[in-house]
Amino acid sequence: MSFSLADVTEYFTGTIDYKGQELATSILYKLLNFFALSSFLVGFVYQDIVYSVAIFGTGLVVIAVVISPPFKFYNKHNLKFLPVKNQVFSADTISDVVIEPIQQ
Amino acid sequence: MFSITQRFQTLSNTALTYAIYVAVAVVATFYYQLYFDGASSVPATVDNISIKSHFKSSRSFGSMNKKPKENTKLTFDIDADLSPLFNWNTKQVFVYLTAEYPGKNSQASNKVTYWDKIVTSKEDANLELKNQRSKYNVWDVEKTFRGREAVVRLEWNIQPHIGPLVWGSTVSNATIVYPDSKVGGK
Repeated sequence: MSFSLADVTEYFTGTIDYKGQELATSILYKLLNFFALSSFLVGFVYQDIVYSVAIFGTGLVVIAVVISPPFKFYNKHNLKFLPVKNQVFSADTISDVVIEPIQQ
Repeated sequence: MFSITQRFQTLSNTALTYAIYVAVAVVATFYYQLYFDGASSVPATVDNISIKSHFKSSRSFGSMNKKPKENTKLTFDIDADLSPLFNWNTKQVFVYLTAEYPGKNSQASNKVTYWDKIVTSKEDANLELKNQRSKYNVWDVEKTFRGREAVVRLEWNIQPHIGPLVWGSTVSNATIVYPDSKVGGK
C-alpha cells in the first residue's frame, strides 16, 4: 500500500457528507444550548460562578470531540454518481487523445 | 461544516456568542439580587469617633516649605453587616470610611478616606470593629480643617467577576466636628 500526499490531506481534512453536515450543525446547537443553559442555572442555584465556567468549559470540550472528527455516522449518505450511460471511448480511442499544453 | 477546521471554527464562534449571552444573564441576575437584598440601604453604625489632630512639617505629611500642616486621624467603632453585597458574581468588596466636609465656597465639597478594607468572602462580611484606628493621615488643601463639620460614611465598591464595578454607600448617621486648631497648635 502506498499513500500519496492527496490521500494524507484528504484524511486530515476530515470531510463529511451533506447529511452529516446537517447532523453536526444540529448537534452543535443542541449541545451548546444545553450547556449554556445548565451552566447558568447550576451557577445561579449554587451561587457560585466557578460552576458556570466549569460547565461551559466542559461543554466546549465535549462538543469539540463530538462534532470535529469525521465519524462514521457523518458519512452514511455518500453521493452516488450515476454510471456512464454511453461509453463512447474505448481504451484505444482514449490513448489517442493528446492533451495540448495551454499556449500563453 | 465540511472539514474539521470549519467545524471547529463554527463551534468556537458560536460558543463565544453563547458565552456573551450567559455573561449578560449573570450580570442581570447580579443586579437583581443586589436590588432584592437591599444593597443600596445596608444599615451601618459608625460611632465612638474621636479625632486626633497633629501639626506636621514634613513633606510626607502634606507640608510645603516646612509650614505646619494639620494632619488628622480617627479612632472609631463600626458595626455593619455587608452580606447583602455578596452573591454569585461578587469577587470582593472594597469598604472605605470617608468624611465629607464643605470646601471654601458653598458649592465645593471635599471627601477624604480614613480607612479601608478588602472583604473577600461572605463569611468575613460582618464588620464589628472596636477602637479601630484609621489607616491614613489626612490633611486638607488648606492649612487646617478650621473646625468644619464632616459627614462620616462607610462606603463600598463591589468588584464583580463579570460586569461593571458597583459603587454605593451604607446608610449611617455619623458626623464629626474637626477641632478648630490654630496653626502650630497654639
